[in-house]
Amino acid sequence: MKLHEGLLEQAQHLVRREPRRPRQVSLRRAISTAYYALFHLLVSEAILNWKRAQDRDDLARMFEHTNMRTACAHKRDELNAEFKRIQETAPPTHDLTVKRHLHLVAETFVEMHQWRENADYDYSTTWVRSDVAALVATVEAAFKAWKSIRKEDAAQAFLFTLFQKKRR
Amino acid sequence: MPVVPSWIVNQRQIAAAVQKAAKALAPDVVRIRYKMAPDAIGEDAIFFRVLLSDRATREDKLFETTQRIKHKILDIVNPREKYGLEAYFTYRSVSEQAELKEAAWE
Repeated sequence: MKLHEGLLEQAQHLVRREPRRPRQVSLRRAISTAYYALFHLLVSEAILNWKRAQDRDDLARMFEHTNMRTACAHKRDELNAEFKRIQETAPPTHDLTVKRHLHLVAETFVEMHQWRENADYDYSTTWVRSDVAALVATVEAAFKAWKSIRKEDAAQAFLFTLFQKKRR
Repeated sequence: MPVVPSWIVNQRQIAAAVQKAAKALAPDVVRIRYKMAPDAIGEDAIFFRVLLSDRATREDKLFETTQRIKHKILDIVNPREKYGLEAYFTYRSVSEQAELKEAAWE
């Protein structure tokens, strides 16, 4: 099993671990683990494009969380603007379907980046099962969305942007 | 000259839009509370706290329900385009809040 698949499975387990009274530690780790599942899904997909297989593990360590979050926010906003230009009644095209899936992946990453920070460091939040279950379900949906579009040009181009750093 | 962020100036419009969104999403959404604060990377953000009916938190429909609610709120409030605010959503059910009784969700 790949790391990102195992992490998602672990997040799903943690959110259901205590059926009656979920512990804060389980809910917090579920959020953090779900975030890292998505993070590692995207990183592992991106490094597949590097021709020299022996360098891929080192390349994976070069991805930075904040840069990825920024790239995802940018893609999300770009797609939002495009969706607004398209009529709601327009028939769905393959291109549009791909973009909607990509939007879900990018949007989910931005959200999970925030909630992972909160889950790992913010003592003031009390988490509840329905909230965390919704987050884990969203990451599950993002995984499915990515699986359906991973070979598309738009998805591959998006992977490349995750590596980019904002230049002054 | 320092520029005041538009969300500070437009607090009433934001409040009205949030109320409109809550009405549009009833009965699944019982109420919406929110706060403005910097997010994890220091960007101005609005954090929505969405109280859901117990029925709306059915686990088999949770993803679809929360996505629908989130996008409706984003459509009506439009925090990013109108006020430059990143937007984040947390949810809890009426039963969960009845147990926790957190003031921020009342």
